[in-house]
Amino acid sequence: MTAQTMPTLYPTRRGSPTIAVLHAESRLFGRELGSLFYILLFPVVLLSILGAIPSFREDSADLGGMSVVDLYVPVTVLLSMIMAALMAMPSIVLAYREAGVLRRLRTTPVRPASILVVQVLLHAATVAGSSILLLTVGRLVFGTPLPQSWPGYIGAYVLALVASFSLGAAITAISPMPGWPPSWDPSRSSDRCSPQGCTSRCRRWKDCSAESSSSPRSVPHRRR
Amino acid sequence: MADAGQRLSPDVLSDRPLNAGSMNQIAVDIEHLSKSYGDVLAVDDVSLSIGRGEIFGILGPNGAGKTTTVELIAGLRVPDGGSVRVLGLDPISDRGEITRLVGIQLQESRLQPKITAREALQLWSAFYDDPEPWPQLAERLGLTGLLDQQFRTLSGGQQQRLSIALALIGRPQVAILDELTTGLDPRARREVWQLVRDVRERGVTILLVTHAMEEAQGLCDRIGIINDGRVRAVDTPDGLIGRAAAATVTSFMAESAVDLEALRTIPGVAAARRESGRIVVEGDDEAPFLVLSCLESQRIVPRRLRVQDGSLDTAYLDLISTPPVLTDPTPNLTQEPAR
Repeated sequence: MTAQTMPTLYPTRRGSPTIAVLHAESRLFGRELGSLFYILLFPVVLLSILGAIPSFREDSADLGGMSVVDLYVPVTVLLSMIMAALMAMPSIVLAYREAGVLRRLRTTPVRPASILVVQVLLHAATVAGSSILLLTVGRLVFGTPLPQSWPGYIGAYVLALVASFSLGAAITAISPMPGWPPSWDPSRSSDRCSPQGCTSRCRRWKDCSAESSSSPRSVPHRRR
Repeated sequence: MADAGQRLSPDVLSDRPLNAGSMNQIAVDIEHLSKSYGDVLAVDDVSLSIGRGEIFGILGPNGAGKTTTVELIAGLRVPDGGSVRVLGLDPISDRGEITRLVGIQLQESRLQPKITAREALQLWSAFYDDPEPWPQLAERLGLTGLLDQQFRTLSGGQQQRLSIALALIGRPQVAILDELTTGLDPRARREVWQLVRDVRERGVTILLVTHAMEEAQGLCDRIGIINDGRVRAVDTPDGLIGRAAAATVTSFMAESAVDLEALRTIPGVAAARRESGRIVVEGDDEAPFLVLSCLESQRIVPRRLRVQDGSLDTAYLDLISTPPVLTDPTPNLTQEPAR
């Protein structure tokens, strides 16, 4: 209440903390030029390159009267989803996790989940932009017909989005991270919980299995 | 018991800045706290009471359980046993309230790599109902010229100062500062210390995790020394120095040979050694006088005689190397819980 009546002497953001996170994260996302390129431009560049091949533009009876480039419009739509959900988003969220951004947010009134939700929203919005671009280029440049049933298209589209981002979230969740859980004691770095510990354990297990595979050889040898 | 009776009454919450009357209340109350990671006991039966408006230092070697203790206080970890009350609230079950009342600067916690200092300050301001005006805070911490720099391009000390600003931006009633001045140059360190003192003047309780002795000695009202997850001593800096075996350091030069063994047998003398041409004798408050009479009996004239206070450094090393002493962890404050 006091915040609203107080004259704003300095630029700051009022209102819901989650909206503030959305605002800040969208500005940060705008600085991820690599991600933006691969989600927004790379699929349309790929579609244009394929469309530049004359034979790909010819309608073919084998494809039910469609051209190869017609088939590539939905493929590139899916490509931008995969780029966003499996490549761009996990790398940002993992970087945040590793830097302790999520932990830092846990100490504030904002739930760290909000930053994850915001990341999904931003990436999904970029995918939507990319899809509109691809459908437009397909229609205007290569004469690919637009989806005939919009409700069906949007339903399938949303399901594909949910599937890709679920997969991306799962990859993010199981990705090992150095120093996680945050070690309070350096001597604990070889702990079973840490990824290094896990791999070394696996190696040890492999070593053991190698030993055991060699020992049966030696055992029958002795028996003989 | 995390029942409603333990919660802060609304008038305490709205009472900002805190008045002097709240000084004799307990801000942080820890009882028999324990936490282990696997087989390792990180925090072992720690009990502490920190008064409102107090600057309390937690001192201890690496891996002593300091950070785990403050993480338990902040509600970032769930204790295995014992209880934590911060302003009468349970850091786990009253999570939402705690995040508004407690400001934390975590050790080795970074921000989004590409966020600018200005954006971070604006974002954190939006988290709280009544934030500190961030331009002033940025100026106090020497961040004004760095506002448009991205976090990843800031130096370690600059990141640290931004982190301190973010911990204080929500006008917390309890501020937890872990490794406050690590990576700061001497001038920035003094400025941060002054800021901490000013924040305390408003009645904010400050919990300082440190292993910088100078910082603990100059800043803290009381210090708790933690080692191996246990509280070894809780006292004022002067009290800790006085408690240690080396409360005084007597040093002098002697022209003739000095019998160090004879000095060591003096009651109250902890150590006697030769150090770059001087004889250095560490001992309790009575030791210097006894050393002088011993020298007199040996017919030695001490030249350039100096008697100094023992440092917190030696007191600390002394306390962490001796087995745990039973100490009274409660401060000289009323024991009534904050109501």
